[in-house]
Amino acid sequence: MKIKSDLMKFIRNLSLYFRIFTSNKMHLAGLIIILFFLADTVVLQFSPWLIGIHNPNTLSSDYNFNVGVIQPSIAYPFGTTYLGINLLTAVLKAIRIDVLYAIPVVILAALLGTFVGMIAAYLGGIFDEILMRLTDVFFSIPYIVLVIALSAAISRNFTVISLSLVLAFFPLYAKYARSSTLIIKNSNMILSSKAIGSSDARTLIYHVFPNVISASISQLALTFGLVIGAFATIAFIGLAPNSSVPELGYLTSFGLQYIQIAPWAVLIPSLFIVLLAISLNLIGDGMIDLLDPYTVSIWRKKS
Amino acid sequence: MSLSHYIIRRLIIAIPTLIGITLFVFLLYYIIGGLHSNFLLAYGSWLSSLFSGKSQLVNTNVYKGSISNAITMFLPNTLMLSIFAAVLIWFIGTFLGVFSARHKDSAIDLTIKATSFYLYAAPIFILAIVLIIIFGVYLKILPFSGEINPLLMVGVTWFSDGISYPTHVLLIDALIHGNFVIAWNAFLSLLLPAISLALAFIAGVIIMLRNSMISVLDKNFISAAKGKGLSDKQIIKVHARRNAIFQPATFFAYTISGLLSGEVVIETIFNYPGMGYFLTQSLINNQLIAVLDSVLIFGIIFVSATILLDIFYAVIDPRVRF
Repeated sequence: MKIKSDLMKFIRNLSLYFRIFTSNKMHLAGLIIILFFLADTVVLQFSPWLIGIHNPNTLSSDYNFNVGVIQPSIAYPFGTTYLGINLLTAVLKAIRIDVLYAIPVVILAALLGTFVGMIAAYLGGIFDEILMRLTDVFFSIPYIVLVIALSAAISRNFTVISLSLVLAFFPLYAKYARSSTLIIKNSNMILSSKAIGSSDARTLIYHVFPNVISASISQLALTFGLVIGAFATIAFIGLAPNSSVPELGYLTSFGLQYIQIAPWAVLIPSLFIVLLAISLNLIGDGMIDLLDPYTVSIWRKKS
Repeated sequence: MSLSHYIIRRLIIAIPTLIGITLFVFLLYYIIGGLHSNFLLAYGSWLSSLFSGKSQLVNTNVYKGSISNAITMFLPNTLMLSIFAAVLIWFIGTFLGVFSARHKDSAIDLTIKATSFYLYAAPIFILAIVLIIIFGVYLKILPFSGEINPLLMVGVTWFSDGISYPTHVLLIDALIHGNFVIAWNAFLSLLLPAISLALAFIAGVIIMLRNSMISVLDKNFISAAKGKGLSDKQIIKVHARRNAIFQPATFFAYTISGLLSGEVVIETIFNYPGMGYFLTQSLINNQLIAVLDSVLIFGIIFVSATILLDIFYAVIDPRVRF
């Protein structure tokens, strides 16, 4: 008999889930906005010349000292900011950088957290204590403080910032995975897997993991929003290591010195940060709804 | 379990986390300093140097002197800002949450609900920028840099080198010395940072409390209370709110870490002389020892705040103690 896991059920029910998700217009709007951001990322990653951008990794090619700070017009739909940078191309570049930095952070944090929580609950006893106390240490240091601490100790670059954010966001996933592993640890499915001689590693990967991952998946979009906000915040308060990397929070800080005469230079990049954060929150809300068995069963009856 | 037993147990549970935080910070020292002696021995002597209060010097463009002196100067301001923000979060959040639930699905409830969702999703620094633009730049009614207008402090005897005496919190010291002009300006300077910090968390409390309040108002004991002829006010105050408050209280505990991150951001944006401002300035000026000492302070603040909240939680809900 084939063991049905949450993950298999999730894949089989994908079209049903999609219908539930899109039934809420706000969730759908969030999804559409995020698709635009992802499209921008993909285009700039593989063929930036399609929209006339040549150096998606740096702002320094956009410096235009003859232009200065001018308001939105046909030539510059979003206007220009500090050093005459065209805000439209700068924002398009910055979206890609933010998305590309955030995705690995979210995935690594979710995987690390899920494995730590799973192993802690599965092994129990002293392992559980040690792993969860270790998790508590990272849970108790605010993420900005963690970023600053590791930047000071190791070096100030984006890799260190990303790793600090992984450490800051994995505890949540560890707690989720631990509690769902505790629930299924003594189920017949796990006991029979052990009885037929599976190793602990095999049981964990093939039987425990697929059953605890759905709670983590539902949190991915929310964490994505938090991590994007974190990157923007870190760059905004002046902790970005490189002064020419296009990043939305960093662009926002550019405009602050002209806030009296050129409010758009602040408002436009911050508007995009808010759009990203809110859309990801809407998607996150929609994904949490999918975990509610009651909602799902109602929709299943309808179809 | 009695309350005192619960408090003692809660304090004991915090010890491993505190040891973990000191170990983590020391590990970073070890990386920076390239110490070659035995890790545990070095850790022991570092810990004892912490307790003996020996302290190194720090040199940033906002502060020069010993680190321990910097902490006595900056920490009270951070506590002041956090407590002010926490009071705003709790009172405004619970008031609007209950209000929204009582007027469920009315136009004003939907407005509060939607606004809360957006405020909760947006990063804190954006809310700060918007408030600075509205109240600082256009309306020009609130100050948005530093803890006081420096012109007011010329010739004040209880204030030197940016430190006020005796409590180091300018607002309180001004009140102690009876200087209400300075107190009023210090209060105004505190408003924008505190509101920017509080807004997102107010929104979080509203969302939580509204939902739990709506489900509590559906319960049979509320109908029973109505049947007895109690007034709406009494039902909300005595029966519904007490039962609905636990979920937001737990949410509050989970957001302490977010609140402290926000503290660093807000203090940096508003040049407010607290631990967070000291921390970012130390990093920017490459004062690594000062950075690590502040990290330790933030870890201790977090652990103490969660202990206090858990005790508060045990006082309002006796079920927690078992």
